[in-house]
Amino acid sequence: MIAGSRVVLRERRPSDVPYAQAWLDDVDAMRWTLHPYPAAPDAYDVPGEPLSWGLVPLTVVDAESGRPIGHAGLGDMVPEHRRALCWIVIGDAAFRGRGYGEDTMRTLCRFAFETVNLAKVELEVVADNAAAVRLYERIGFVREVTRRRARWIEGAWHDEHLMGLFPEELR
Amino acid sequence: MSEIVLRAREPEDAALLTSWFADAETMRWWDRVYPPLPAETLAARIAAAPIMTFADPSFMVCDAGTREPVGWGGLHAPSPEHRHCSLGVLVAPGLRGRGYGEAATRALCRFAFDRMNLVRVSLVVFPGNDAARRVYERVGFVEEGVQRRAFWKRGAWHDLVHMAVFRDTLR
Repeated sequence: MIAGSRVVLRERRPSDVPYAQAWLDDVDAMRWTLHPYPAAPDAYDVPGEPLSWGLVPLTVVDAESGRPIGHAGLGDMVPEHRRALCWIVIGDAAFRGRGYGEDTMRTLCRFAFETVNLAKVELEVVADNAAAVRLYERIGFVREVTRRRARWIEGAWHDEHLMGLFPEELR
Repeated sequence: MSEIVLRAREPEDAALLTSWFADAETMRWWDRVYPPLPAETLAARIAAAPIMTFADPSFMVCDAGTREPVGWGGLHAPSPEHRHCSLGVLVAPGLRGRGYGEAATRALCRFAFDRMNLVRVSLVVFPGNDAARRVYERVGFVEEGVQRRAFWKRGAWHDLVHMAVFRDTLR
């Protein structure tokens, strides 16, 4: 497990699945994510093997209560270029807007640099998801590329930012 | 301006393709880390490949007059929901500066827009590859940002410039 201040990031467990199904069914939580289709019952994939380089899907747990509140992780790791894409979903609406997302991102990036030895963490975010963009910028992420009209969401085109963070930029 | 045609790859093209992807000057501006497949293996793969579909259009670029191969071009990662793809193009060593790259880039975009019904084509280019950037700008590509230190090559970090063109801005 990876300890933050308000959250703990740990491996996904079968007992997380009922919580995750509620997040996947939450239209507000899923609006800005990449997957536009309704989730299958087994959409919250619990890896059958120990986590290792490449894809690290984690469950975000409230440190105080132990309750699963969302998921986050690192994927698309490129060993030669030592970078990865990260993602975060605070699925439980009761935990949004209270700093849990920020603590999750900071903890995840620290893990990426200090444990996995990545040189850079990147993410893709819909430009209109202003709260997320602000959160990422607070942590130190820099907007590097704005892909114009790269995402079709709910009947309209949206720009997408590619953002990047180096270890010395993490705040 | 050189006229070109696009055609499917054939097993007989494998030796030529392998030689291009092993050429030091060509690979100076290419994003491959490892040497190409042996020509025999590539020929077998081309022979065994199913008919070209939306998923992976890959072409030999040929001179429209002589029908001789002068380069290679491909459209990658097409998204049916977001209606975009990325583009890669290569002009054979010794045939640069004759307009083949510009004609091929335009033809690949036309294929993406007119046949595949996509609306956006993107690409990445190394910052020092000025000849390629000028070609892309002439075709209508606009810079969307710089992905910082995204690529490790020849013992140093390199940025990647991201560019894109839309159906209604192709020139």
